[in-house]
Amino acid sequence: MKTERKLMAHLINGTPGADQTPTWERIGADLEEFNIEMNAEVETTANILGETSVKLAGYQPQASVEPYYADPDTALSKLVQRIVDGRKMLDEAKTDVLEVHLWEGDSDSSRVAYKESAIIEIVSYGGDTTGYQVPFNLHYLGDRVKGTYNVTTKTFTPDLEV
Amino acid sequence: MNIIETMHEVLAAFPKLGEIGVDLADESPDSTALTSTGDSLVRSDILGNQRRLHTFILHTVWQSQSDWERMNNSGVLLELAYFLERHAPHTAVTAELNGVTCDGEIVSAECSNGMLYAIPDTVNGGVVYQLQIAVTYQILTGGNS
Repeated sequence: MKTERKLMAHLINGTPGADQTPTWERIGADLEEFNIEMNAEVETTANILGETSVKLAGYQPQASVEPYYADPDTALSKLVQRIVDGRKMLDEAKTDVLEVHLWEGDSDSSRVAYKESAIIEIVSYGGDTTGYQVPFNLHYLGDRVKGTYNVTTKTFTPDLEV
Repeated sequence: MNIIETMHEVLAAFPKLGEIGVDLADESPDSTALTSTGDSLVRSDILGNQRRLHTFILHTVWQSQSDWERMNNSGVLLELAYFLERHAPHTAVTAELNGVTCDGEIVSAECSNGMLYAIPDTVNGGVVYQLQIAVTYQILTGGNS
């Protein structure tokens, strides 16, 4: 049986920073599609024996959040607007993203989740008369951590390293 | 209230229409009725929220003895179109999807084909005008958390 799309939840931390408590906000309202493009680095070589070797060296994941309608009451919108207003770069445009498998885990208090840092790249801001829009791209940084997410308390707990 | 019940209430607030009947407008002057003609899914987002389109036809019986009266009737239909454009959006709606009652709201209401629709054998009692109304509404299925 197919997994419903809404069971793969994507959240972004609207209050990044070591001294801040994360505010996990789920994206997806008005988004008909959200894909994390893996951008794999693949090298293919063929030898004189007719064999092909494939080296998968790594990934450069990236995702596009478009459309994104700004809601001034949300922490994520405030973060995005600060990046726009201050033309923030480097670590000042960094936050965390969470992928929560709502179909996996014992209950809503303990869903399997993966956290990763990402850079927010503002694509544009403004938009048409339907609302103020700030579409952006997420560039994942590869420091992926597995853990569990509590849907009720909106908190992520990393798994203990063995 | 579902979208049909909600639109009945929205139309009832328009001061130049009488009581809004359901489906059947009798032949008496100022008789008005709203008919639901269909509902469809326009699109859904990755949270499962839906944007839907519901279409209606409004029939109303008005006097039509002269061009002046007919111009007036068309003017009322135009005013109704403006009224719906301004007052329908953000009105609360509920929908039952897969056995679950979900909340939502009207996004927009657009009118078209407002015109004289039927002329009875004698125009003394009035003629039937129609107005087609297309209502776009959003339903939130609770996947936002």
